[in-house]
Amino acid sequence: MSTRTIRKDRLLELVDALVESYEVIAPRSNLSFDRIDTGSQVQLDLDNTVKSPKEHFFAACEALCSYKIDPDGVTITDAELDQDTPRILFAARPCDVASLPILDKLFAWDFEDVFYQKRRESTTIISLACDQPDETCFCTSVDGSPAGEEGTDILLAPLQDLYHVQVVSERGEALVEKFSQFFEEATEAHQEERQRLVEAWQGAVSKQVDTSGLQEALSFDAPTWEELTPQCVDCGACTYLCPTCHCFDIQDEGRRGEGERVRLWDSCAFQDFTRMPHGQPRPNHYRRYRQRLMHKFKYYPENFGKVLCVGCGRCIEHCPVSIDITESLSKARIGG
Amino acid sequence: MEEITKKIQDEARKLLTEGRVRAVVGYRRGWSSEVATPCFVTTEGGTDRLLYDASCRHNLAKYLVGREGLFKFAPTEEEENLPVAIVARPETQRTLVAMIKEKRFVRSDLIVLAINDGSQAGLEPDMEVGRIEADNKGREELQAKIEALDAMEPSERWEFWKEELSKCIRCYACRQVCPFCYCERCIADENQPQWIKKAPTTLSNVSWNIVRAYHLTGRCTECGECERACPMDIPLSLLNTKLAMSVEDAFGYRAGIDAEALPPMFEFREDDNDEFIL
Amino acid sequence: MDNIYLPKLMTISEIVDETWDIKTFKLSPADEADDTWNEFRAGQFGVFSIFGQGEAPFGMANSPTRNEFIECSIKRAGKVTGAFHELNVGDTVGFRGPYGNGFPIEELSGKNLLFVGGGIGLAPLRSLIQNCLDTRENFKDITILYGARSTGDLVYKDELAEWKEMSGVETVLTVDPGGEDDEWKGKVGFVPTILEEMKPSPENTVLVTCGPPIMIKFVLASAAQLGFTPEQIVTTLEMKMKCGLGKCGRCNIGPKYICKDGPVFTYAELQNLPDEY
Repeated sequence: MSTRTIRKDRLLELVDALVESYEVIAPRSNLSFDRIDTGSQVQLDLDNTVKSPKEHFFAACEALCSYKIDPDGVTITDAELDQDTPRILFAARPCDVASLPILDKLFAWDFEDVFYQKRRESTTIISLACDQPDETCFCTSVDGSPAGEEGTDILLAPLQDLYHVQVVSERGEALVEKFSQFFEEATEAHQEERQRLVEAWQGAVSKQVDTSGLQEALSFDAPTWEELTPQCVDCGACTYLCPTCHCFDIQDEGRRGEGERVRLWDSCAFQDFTRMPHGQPRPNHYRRYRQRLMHKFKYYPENFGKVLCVGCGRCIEHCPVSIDITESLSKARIGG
Repeated sequence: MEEITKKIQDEARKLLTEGRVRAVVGYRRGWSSEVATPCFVTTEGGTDRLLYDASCRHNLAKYLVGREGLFKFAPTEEEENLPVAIVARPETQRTLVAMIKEKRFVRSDLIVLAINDGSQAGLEPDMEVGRIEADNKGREELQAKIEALDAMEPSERWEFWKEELSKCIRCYACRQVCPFCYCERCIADENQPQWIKKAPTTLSNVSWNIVRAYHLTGRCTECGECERACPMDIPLSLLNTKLAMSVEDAFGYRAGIDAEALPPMFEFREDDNDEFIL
Repeated sequence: MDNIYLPKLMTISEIVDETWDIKTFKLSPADEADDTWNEFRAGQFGVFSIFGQGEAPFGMANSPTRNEFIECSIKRAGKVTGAFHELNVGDTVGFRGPYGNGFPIEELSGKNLLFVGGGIGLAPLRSLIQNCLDTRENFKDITILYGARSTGDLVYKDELAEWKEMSGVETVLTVDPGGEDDEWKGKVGFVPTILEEMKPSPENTVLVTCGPPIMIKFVLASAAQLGFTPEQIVTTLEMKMKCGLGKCGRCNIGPKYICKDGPVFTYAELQNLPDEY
């Protein structure tokens, strides 16, 4: 795969050109990724957005189908998926992008989820390496890196005056060809500068947690769960901001006679998540928190071979009561 | 600040070794030197973790109420009559006063280790462990923003709130950190009937947030936790403080200030102001 | 790519009042040209829905060998189940499925079968019982032990009478102490107690059980005492579900999803799973 460079003062021009033939989704505010109309709307100087870009693949709420009830009976209409419009996810961080190959496994497990798949297939990803990892970042502890290439088509890495452009996939190659007028060659010097910088960025990820043998070291019956996170208040902030959390609810919402069957985000932290009229297997907080950690670091890897965490640190930064998942992991290990 | 920490640790150690409390609710160091997290200490050995500094912002009163798992201090038989000690910032103290008025517990259930800032405290602390600066600037800024909203045309204000609340992701962090959101079954979770739709559409978000604000009217002690907890920067204090001000205008009452005053939403008097009823 | 969440429309052809809070619904597809709708394995389940109220999972209560309809028995408990109880013949409901692994009927071939059911737990067992009775030559002795809280709470009363009359099938019915009425001719006692009284031999036998969690707990203990190994005991579990097809993250016990790896498990498999059901 080829390497190029693009001058920093040309990057947003490239974005303007992309907008003409693609739906471009980029960090638009400190809060979220959204569709942009011009390059000037892209926020490039954020550590990361509050919400991950996962909502553009796995929507926070969307209609699975709609229904109409009248005296003759019921008619249902399939959801209209207009995802033939080609999209670009621009300036997403390597951690957020790495979540997509992880989620791919679940959304394709035996039953193909057309809502997720169509969006995945129609999206080319241009990610942006992290030259200033945040103090809550721990990507390097979960097989990630500030310059990680997992899941991306093109990776931009900020050098002194320009971005190094690493093409990672065929799709990325085609895009760079199509817009070749914006790119210049990458020299040996550029490669060396990039290498030095990437090492520095990796070293700058200060938060580390030992994840070796974690799957085996997490035990359902360990007595440590009960007192692990007593301060947790069972909200859904960590779940909703997390790039890999994917639990959802299905509700019929509408007015008398018509409505939509909607899929919406849900969280295993909520008290009612597993509640049935005749029983509740997780009636107290520690059981729900155990489910959260074990699902992410034991059950999901057991089923799909990948840890359900990319180390983005959002759960740590935005937890209302300042819980640190890496502290929980260390304490939850048997013998740890 | 280090003095406050020492005082809290000493007092906590004394209370626990003398068997005078079931637990001490306080703060410990979090994931960085600028972050604290709530902690619950039940043994003398655990008191070393307790601290207090500028990073300690959470309203710990939340942990004195709640359902399974949250209210950790349901007593064992031996502990039946023992109180709980709590490190109480000024906002927390105000919350405790109002919670006592809502009969969540009685004053003797608590040992209040107070951190005061000179503001009106409706609660006699058991011990003052420290003094901090009052945050008047924050209050003034909030006041100014509310006045600006009041000056808007209703349609303009409605657009403001629709835009803010369209950001809501329905994580319920606001509800979960609020000490006064302790309903066994929240109206947002009730599904027979489904009063408030669950999907995070703008209109549904507006329903949820306004209903929560209404349910807090006359009860909210303006600790600001909801706004601090909201990941999406929704200015919830504006809503809740505005409603608190409306109650004060109509009934001369503001929650958590006066330990004797009865909350207007809980009592009826024949001479209650009714001028706002059309 | 099809929309896996899009339900089929089904019409209610018949409703049977089983008890004061349980009804059986017999459904056929609204689209008469649909000819794959009734292929399923005994022990699988479907996600049924009432448009405007919501979806809920119910086990198929009939055998694939008797698939004139899809049958499900629903106990009124919450919002969706309550709404089902308000429906009439001719009303339309949604159906997604069949989901789940179903009973390992091939592995039961040549064995004695002991069915132990409680309350509405008989519903998923019925799909397997009917299937076995319809392929009777594949199995050795068939014994059915079924009980409910009271005589009024017994489901499939007509079919129970049929099974009682059938030769080659031993049917033992019981109600909880205090649940008998004057005409009751069956046993009186909790299902696990009656099971122990029956002293069934574990020799070449598979015990298939379903019922309230408390009953299953005691049946497992009784079965162990009687000498059944964990591999010889099969049960079907129920957890809260939404998607029914392994994506919404809700119905797991440890790494296993009840909607995909279950709902049917052997007790041996359950012993390797966390105690979270």
